[in-house]
This record gives sequence, structure tokens and C-alpha cells, in this order.
Amino acid sequence: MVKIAITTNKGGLEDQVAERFGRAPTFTIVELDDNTFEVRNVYVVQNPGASAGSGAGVKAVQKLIDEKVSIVIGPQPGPNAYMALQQAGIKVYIYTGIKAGEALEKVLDELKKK
Amino acid sequence: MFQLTVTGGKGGTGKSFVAVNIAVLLAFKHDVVLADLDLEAPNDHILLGIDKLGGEEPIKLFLPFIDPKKCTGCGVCAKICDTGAILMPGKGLPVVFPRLCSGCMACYYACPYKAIVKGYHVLGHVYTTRVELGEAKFTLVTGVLREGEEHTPPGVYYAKRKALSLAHDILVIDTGAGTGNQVSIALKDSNLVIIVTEPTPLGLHDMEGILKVARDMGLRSWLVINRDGIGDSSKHVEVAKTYGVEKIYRIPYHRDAIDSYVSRKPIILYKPDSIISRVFHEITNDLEKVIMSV
Amino acid sequence: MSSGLDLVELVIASGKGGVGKSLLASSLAILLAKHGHRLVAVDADAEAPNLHLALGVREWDRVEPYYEGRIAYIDRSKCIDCGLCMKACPFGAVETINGKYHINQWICEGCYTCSFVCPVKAIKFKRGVIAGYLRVKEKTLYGFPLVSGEITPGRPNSGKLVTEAKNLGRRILSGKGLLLVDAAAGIGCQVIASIAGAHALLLVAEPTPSSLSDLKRIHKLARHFRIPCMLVINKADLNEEYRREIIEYAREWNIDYLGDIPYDDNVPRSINMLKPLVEAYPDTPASKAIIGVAEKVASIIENISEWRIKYLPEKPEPFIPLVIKPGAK
Repeated sequence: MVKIAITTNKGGLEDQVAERFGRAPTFTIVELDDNTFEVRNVYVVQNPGASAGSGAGVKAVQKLIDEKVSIVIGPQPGPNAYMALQQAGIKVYIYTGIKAGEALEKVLDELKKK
Repeated sequence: MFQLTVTGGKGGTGKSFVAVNIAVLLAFKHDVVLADLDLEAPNDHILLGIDKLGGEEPIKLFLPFIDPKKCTGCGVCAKICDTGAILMPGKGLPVVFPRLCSGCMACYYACPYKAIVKGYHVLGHVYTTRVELGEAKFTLVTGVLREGEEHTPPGVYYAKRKALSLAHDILVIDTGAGTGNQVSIALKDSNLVIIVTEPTPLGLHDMEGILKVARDMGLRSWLVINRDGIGDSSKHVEVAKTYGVEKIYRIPYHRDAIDSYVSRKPIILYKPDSIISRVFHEITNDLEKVIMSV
Repeated sequence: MSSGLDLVELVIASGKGGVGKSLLASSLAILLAKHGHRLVAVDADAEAPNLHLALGVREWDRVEPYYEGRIAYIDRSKCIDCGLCMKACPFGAVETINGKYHINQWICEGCYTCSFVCPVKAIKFKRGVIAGYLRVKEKTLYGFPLVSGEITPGRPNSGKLVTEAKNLGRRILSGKGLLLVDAAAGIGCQVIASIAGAHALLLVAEPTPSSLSDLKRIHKLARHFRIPCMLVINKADLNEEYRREIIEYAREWNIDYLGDIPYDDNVPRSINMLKPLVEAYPDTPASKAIIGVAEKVASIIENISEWRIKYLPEKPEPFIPLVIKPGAK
């Protein structure tokens, strides 16, 4: 099972990709089949970074680690989030200004090519 | 030991100008320590014409280091960390982000396996400089935040403790701008607070903010209206009285102040006959009466 | 906007307080709005917000409380007056009143440390603390919105409220226009939050030694974040020696020096009228200078990508925390 997270506002694949990484209100998490990349499940979690005083980026990434996410889609992460993602070994695909579902499609296209 | 703290809320009202001149005047007769606790933009040494600050000491803030032999990967440290400075990656040891660490030590105390070891991260520096301006001799303690560091309050507390360790008779504190806890840490335990404002609506607004803090901390305050004449100060006086401000002084707007600024000499030495110098003498005389009575 | 970006963030900062950030921010906002720019003004000085006064805002359309953090307090029924909390507190928030231990709510950051050292678990936390307010004026007298954060005095982390205020400003712009941010004095957490994400930084200085010293500090911060800078010297005719030193610094560090604003008695008069200078005294020398600066800023914004390439700090100077390992001196 591969899990991909997308930064979102209210949540869900119809929502826009959130404009901020560390303080994105929610993450929409998609569970995919390892081989076929078929979507098995979609759910939304609150991002603890959204309400953080500081270190929002790190808290956001901690949530992704706890959810065992291996790929995240969103805007350019800030310096703290970026370092945390590197430590966690989570890959980032940068997309903004489109719907979460659309961004997911684009990333899956890239993955399928590999 | 008498602690006088000069503050103002709004930046640029003349806190440092007032603090420095009063400290120099007091230093003729008393043992004075002047503490510049505006760690982000320290200016007192500039107003005194001091090019080299002495006695550099790092402000060491606790930074956790993980002992790999004791760590079980339970993740309590990451959960307890308020500022997101500890990350628990899926596997391996917790990762510490020094820039985000506020030095509070909650992780150190929370770790059930005592796997966190005390290291440090340098938030900035405290300097101790002996100042001699003729007969006025005193110690200047200057706190300087390292550019890029975020968390000023623990640095203010550290620098203040340094100043307190050196002060016997009088401690004059120059705070930073604003009304956050970097100012309230400096204000704490003051025998007297001097609030410096300017006669504009901007000065009024921030004066009231600082008066609220001083009142709620139970501190006695005086008001100095700096650059008097550039605007209407009647509302300032009205509001100050409702907060129980005991004395109000006016420093007129005058070219002499700018000249002393640029010359890097305190005005009471640079232009002792200036109308501004006379106000500082008046304030200091009244201050000495209070200091004697305490 | 030709070689422009859709959303441009311009932050006005100085390091030193009182040099004229709000003066410039308010007048620039009006002039740029008149020039046809869609903009939102953000007052990012949450501890001493002033921009609303400079813009003549008397009432807010929306005021939202902002909840953040915890404040510790001691349960007197359990406290044994051991004083361990006072030794441990990194902020000096624990004090004694009449011999009894007490936590100062104007200092406490709610970090939990005292609760861990307390041997009898006498420390509890007040939550749901109103740490400040986010205020919005949908349309100021000059046509554009103003977002302003104001922190409750004594509360920490004003940086987060600044970030909220900027985010709200961005949402109002919906991705198109100019976010004009008036930063606080200093270089700490509040100011860092203000400049994070800026496309350009407009530095304001006055020709005094303190202002020069603080200018260098804020510029170092700009280099850490790799943000290109422009400079305006306010009250420029106060002192020629320092004015030259500032210009030399700008030249040395590839800062776009836009020009000077002369000292002008009409400035404090306009402040007392709660009107931006360019509205109250459009023909006074300082206004004329600001109009000149505004034209340059407008053209920078319209060609922001090109300008950024030209003035981007050459080598990255990332911030590296100075770490001392356990056991080292």
C-alpha cells in the first residue's frame, strides 16, 4: 500500500491544493495499490501544523510520518518542513493552483512512467 | 538594589535616549549598571559612542541531544515539544531542529529513559563593558541576538540575570520595543517604570498598551513625553492619569537631541545647557528622592 | 503585469523603530492603489500596530479572537513551596508574592517545563487563552482592505499572528495582486514571520548611527532568506555623513537605493490628523519625494521577476545555528 498526501483546505480531492505547506489546514490522504496505483481509500486529517505557534512545518511532517505517507503533494515547503521531509525520506511533488484530484492524477502519471 | 526600567511600546520614541542619559547622570553619584535588553536592535552603546563592546559571553540556550544508547524511540519528546523542534522519523533516532528549539527543557524532563543530554545552542551574546565618561563611571551590559534567531525572550532573561548579578545600587534597564513577553521579562521586579511616548496618536496607542502591562504587573510608572511639541499630548496625559501615572515630564522637540544622537554623546554631556538636559536633571533629581526613600 | 508574478509580496522593514515604516507603508499603499494596483495592506506589527491609525481606520469590519497557547498556574492546595519551578523556568515567569509561589501570566509561554520538575504535580494549565485579535477593514477610505493583528500584551509568539494576518491578506487577494506588509521593528520572531515569503524587501533607514546599525542587522536577515532589497532614506537631510554611509552600504551589498525623503514638519501634522501624508499635504516636499519613490516601486512590481534577478543576494547565506555539543566547552 502506497500512501500519498495532498495539502488541502477543507479536504477531499475536489478541494484546491492548499497554498501553504506547513500551515495547510488539512491533508487529504490517498491509499493506493502498490502495483496498479488504484485508489483504495481517501480520508482527510487535520494538520497539527495549522495551529502551531512555530515549527509548523515540522509538526506537519510529523503527522505525515505518523500516517506513514511516502509522497506528499503541495506547494514549495518552507525551510523547516523541507529539512523534516528529507529526514523522513518523504518525496515532495510541487503543484499549486489546481484541484487536489488533478494534482494527484499528474503525480500518478509520473509514477506510472517509472 | 533599585531597578528602573525604561520602556515605551512603540519603537523609536526615545527609550534608549532617555535610559542612557538618566543612567549617566545617576552614575556621577551612584554605582550604576545600565542593561540594554533590546536584544534585536541594541543601541545604547551607539548613543554612548562605544565602538567596541567588552566581555563577550555566549547566551547558551539548552539544546537537546539524543543519547542513542538510551533512546527507545518512544517519541514522547517529539510529542511534548511545543515548537516542533523534534521530529520522530519513521525509523531511527529523533531529529532535533536547533533553530526551532526555545530551550524550555520540557523534552529533557519528559523523557522516560533519561535519553536526552544537555547541549547548547548560542542564541546571541551578552557583553559587559566598563564605561567612563569623565566622572560618570558605570557598567554597560548589552544583549545582542544572533541575526536569524527567532526566540528573543529567553535571551532577555539571560542578559537580565547577568545585569542583576553585577548591580548593587542601581540597575537601569532599556527594554526593546513592543508589548510581548520580551518586554514583560525586562519589566518584572521594577521599582519604577518610565514610559517614553511621543505626542502623536501612534504614541498614544502604544503607551496605553504598555500602561496596561505595567498596571497589571503592579508596577509604579512615570511618563516622559518625548519630542513634545510635534503634536497634541492632551489625550496622553488624560489616559496616563487614569492608569495612575504619578509624574509626567516633557522633553521638547529640539535639534539638540538629533545632534547628540549623531555625535554619539549623551546630551547631558554634549550640551549640558540644553533645555533637554535640564529635563533630564529634573527627572534624575526626582528619581534620587524615590531611590533614597526605598 | 508584464514580467510580473500574479501575487507579489512586498515587505517594508527597518530594524530600528520610528524611522517611518508606517508613514511610507500608508502613503505607498494609497499611491499604488491609485496607480491601479489591486492590493491588501497588512500591519505585521502585532505588538504595537499603527498602520490603521495612519490610514484613518476608526472601526473594524471584523474582529476575530485568536486563541493560542497555554498559561501555567500553581494549584495552591498542592504546592509545597519548594521553588524548583522557579529554578527551572527559562523565562523567569515564576515569582514569589508574600512568600508564596506564583506564575506571572505576562511572561509564561506555557512550555510545560515547570510541570515536569514539580515533585507534587501542582502545576496546571489554562487553555483557550485569547492571545490576540485579527482585525479586518474590508475597504479603507482609500479603497483597499487592511488586515491587522494585535497581540494581547505579554503573550509570546506574535509571529504566528503575523503569519495568520498575512494568510488572510493572501486569501482576500485570491492569488492576484500586491500584498503590502508593514513589519514591526526588530529582527526577531515577529519580523521573521513578516518577511518569510516576501518577493522584495523595502528597507527604511534614517541617517543616524543606530539606524545604520539596525539596518545591517535586518539586511543580514534578508540575506539569510535570500530576499532582494530596495532602500529609502527617510529624514535624509538630518545628517549628511550618515546618509552617505548608508548609501555606501547599499552600494556594497547590491541594494536598490530608491532615493531620499527629506525631513518635513508636515509629517507629524499629518499623523495627528490620522491621514497619510500624501492625502493631507500632497505638495509638501516629503510627499513629492514619496510620490517619486512610489513610481519606482510600481515599476519594480510590474517587472518584479527581472528586478529580483538583478538584486538577488549573490551567494546564499543560510542561517546556521551555533551549536555546542554536550561535554564541549
